[in-house]
Amino acid sequence: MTSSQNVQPITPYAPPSAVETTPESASPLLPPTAEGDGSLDALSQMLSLLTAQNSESLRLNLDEIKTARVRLEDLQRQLAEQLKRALDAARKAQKRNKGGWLRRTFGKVVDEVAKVFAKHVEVVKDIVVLPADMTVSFAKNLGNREALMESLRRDLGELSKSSDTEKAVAGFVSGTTKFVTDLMAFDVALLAALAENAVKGEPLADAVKERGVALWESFKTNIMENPGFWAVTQRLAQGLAVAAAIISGGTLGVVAVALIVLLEADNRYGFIESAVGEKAAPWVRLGISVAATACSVAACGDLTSALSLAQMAVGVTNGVGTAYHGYRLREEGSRQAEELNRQTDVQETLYHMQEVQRLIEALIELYEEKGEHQTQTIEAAVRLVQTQSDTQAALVFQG
Amino acid sequence: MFIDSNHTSATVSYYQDAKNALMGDYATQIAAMMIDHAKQSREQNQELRRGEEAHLRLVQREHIEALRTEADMIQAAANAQGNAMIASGFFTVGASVTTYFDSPNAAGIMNGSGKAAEGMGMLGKGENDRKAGLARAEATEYEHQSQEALRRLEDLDGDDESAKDLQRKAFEHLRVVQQIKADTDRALTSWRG
Repeated sequence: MTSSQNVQPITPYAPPSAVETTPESASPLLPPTAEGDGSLDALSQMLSLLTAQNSESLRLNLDEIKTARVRLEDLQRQLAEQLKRALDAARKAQKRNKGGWLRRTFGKVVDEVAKVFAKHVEVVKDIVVLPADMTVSFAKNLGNREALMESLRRDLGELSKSSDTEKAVAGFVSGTTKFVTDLMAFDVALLAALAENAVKGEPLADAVKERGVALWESFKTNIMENPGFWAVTQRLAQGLAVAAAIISGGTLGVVAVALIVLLEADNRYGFIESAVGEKAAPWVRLGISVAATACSVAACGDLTSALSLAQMAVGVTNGVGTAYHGYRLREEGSRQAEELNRQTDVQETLYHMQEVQRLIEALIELYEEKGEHQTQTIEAAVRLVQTQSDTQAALVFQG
Repeated sequence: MFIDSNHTSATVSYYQDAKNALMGDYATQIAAMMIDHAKQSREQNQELRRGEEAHLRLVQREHIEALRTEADMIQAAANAQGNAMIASGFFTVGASVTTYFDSPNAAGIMNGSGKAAEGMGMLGKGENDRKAGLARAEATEYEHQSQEALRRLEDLDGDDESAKDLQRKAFEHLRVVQQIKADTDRALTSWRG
């Protein structure tokens, strides 16, 4: 290079941090320092300032990377908290399904006992299954007593083969037993709290509230939503109805029998569920059972008031069932919305994390690029000094 | 969040400023033009990247908002139907009780009210379900848009890498030219001597 011949000094860009510096080093054999050198030519000055600017820029770049990393760590913590909340919610729902501690502890035992009970205690099965089949036989053979008796004997013979009945009885026994155990646990907690508060004069303890919630959940699971319970309840009601109808032999007895035949037909073909929906079907069945029972009872008493009572019972049952179904719909909607909101929170945090991740990647790439520039600048400065030195050596040699 | 373009162009600016002052031959001019091109290309990429980042943030935000709207609408639909059914249930109970106490008019009114409540509930549920469906469709659309934006960002990264490579080659070319010039000058000086 021809050194500084015909070179106009240029005004290089100076970063804010690269303030006016005082040149000190004059040796051409030394690489230019970041502070610059008055005796150096324009190119040397430019390289010196480039080095200084690059150093400062690298430092800033590192600070930015650190800041982004801190932000990323915050987001990771936030994500962990959100996931924990989602997990807690799932556990809570699971716990709610599991019920109280007593039932959780002895739940399996209760189930097994219920199965054995349903399998081996034929008396219970007879009580539960007999009325419906007897009703059908009764309806078919109203005018023929012998045929009726024969049909009843056949029905009795069929009892031990009914696996559906076993399931219903098992469900009934299991559900009621579990609910009773939760009720016992609640009683214990209530008594303890009452005793404690009697001494301290304070309101009911939280333990009682928790037990109350657990009891309500147990009631919902084991009674309200237990198909076995309703099946057995209906059969028991039918049994009463048939017994009353057979005893009375009056008009209402026939109505009761007709209602029970309707129920039996539903048990076999499931038309009520398809007509009114899965949720409302148990309530409709219960309503018909109640009506049948009321009719049967009324067969021996006052016709009008019994019918009115039956109508009211059916209406109240159906109304309560509809209201409860509405409540469950609200609960399910809230659960779905909360779940979706939790997923959205996680998604939002992931988006932020991806954004910060992209920023960090860009900053690291930039850092590498600046490091490369720094290396190139230093190499260029070394080469420049080398060239100057060589040129001066050649001039001295010539001289 | 974005990268300021001033961070990357400083070195290139020096060479651009220096090229007229220091150099005059064709080889150097070609190198300078390559650097110019690479610089402009990278600046353009950075601008595009900045725009794409902003677009990505926007569609991701919209995606989140659409999901939240969907959640709200699901809740609203369930509330509408649930409240209506609760009301209907109580009307049914009321109607049954009034029937029992021999008030057919009141029972009729209550039964009608129950049916009306159920109808209103179904109407509200239908409307909110429709809104939830729309929100879900919007969320899906925004999600696809954000994926598109991410793909475009990857393409821009590739373009930037190419421009950086070109810039590196141009600097290397410039260095070689300067080296040859210096060697030539030194040889000339020695020869003249």
